[in-house]
Amino acid sequence: MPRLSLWGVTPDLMLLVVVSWSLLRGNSQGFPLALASGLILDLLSGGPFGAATLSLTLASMIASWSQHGIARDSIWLPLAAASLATVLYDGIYLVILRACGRPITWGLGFLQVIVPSIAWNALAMYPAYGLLRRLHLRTVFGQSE
Amino acid sequence: MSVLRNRSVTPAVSLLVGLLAITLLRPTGYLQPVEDLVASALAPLQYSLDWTSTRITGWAQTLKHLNSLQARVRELEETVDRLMVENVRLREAEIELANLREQLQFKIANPSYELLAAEVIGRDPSNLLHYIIIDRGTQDGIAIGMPVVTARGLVGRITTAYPHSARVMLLTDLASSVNALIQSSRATGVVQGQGQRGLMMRYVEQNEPVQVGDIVLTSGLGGNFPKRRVIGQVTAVKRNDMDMFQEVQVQSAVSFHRLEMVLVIQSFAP
Repeated sequence: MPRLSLWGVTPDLMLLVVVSWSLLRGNSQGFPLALASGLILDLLSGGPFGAATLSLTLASMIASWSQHGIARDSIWLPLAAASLATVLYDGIYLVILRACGRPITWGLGFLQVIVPSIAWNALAMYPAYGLLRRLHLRTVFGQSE
Repeated sequence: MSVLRNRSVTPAVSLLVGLLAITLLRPTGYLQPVEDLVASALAPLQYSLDWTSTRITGWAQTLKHLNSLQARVRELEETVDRLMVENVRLREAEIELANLREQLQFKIANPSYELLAAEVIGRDPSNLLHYIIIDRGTQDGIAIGMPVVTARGLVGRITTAYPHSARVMLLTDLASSVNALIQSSRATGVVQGQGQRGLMMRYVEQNEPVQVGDIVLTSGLGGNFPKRRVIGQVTAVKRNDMDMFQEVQVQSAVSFHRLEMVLVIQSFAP
């Protein structure tokens, strides 16, 4: 992943997968996926335990709800969903870190992490959403039965 | 005479006479112009025949050895694959050797340290945190607070230790702070992590002379890190008459994105 670094930031693939799946299948499937993915991230991370789970779950749920008015095949959907989810995910994570006593410089965090992350995630969302949409279309009929 | 008159015998006799004449006249050189003319006329034909016969021989050889050639190609392909794998392995071994050589030099230069080499096996998945995970844990004698270095400089310290792995907070993490001094002026301050922006040395008094290029070392104050370990080099100095302290931008001596092996100083108790 460091090879995919842009301004020192890498795309949040787990976030993109969770948000994409929430958009395609709704929060009934997105929520458990966000919970499981967040727990994995928490186990791998040096941050406070639960921070990634909470941030990922809230970010994916809100991002999914807010995109109800947009068609699933709209070209703007991945961009809007990824941007909103990134702001929410990193924002909530920063708040939790601050609440746990870590020194956080809000301006620095926003400029150094959130802004480049929005750019990266918005770019990476298109292939991620495209692949998952294909998977969704292949499996959706079996799902509805 | 009846023999000579026979129609079928006459050409043969003429040919024999002609050959005899050529044989006798050739050493004298009288026939040289004729020979040159014939040779020039026949040269293209000779070339064509030679070219054709060479190709036909080649094809015949190929057909004859087709089975063995296919086996040879397979054998050569296997050899190429094996050599490619071997080449990659040797390159990796070369890089590892260079790393180990650096570490050995560090060990020789610091005989008082009890060092444990560890490989970097993971990085923090969040962009907001700067941690690495190493393949040594409490079962190898790793404990929380132990400093982590490379031959080039300070990397960070152990923040969490598991039986077979440990988590290292890098100097660039926003929660990281190290008491430091400028080597040339002995001015003291605190080096704090700035995330993607690297390191910033704060609380350096305004009257302290700090130059771009100065080396920044650990001061040992506070007892969290050993003394005189290289942190990095000054890349910019920000002075403001209104502020009590100057801010010094520091470029770390360690390339954190390329870390593969580190050394844990086990003999240092914070």
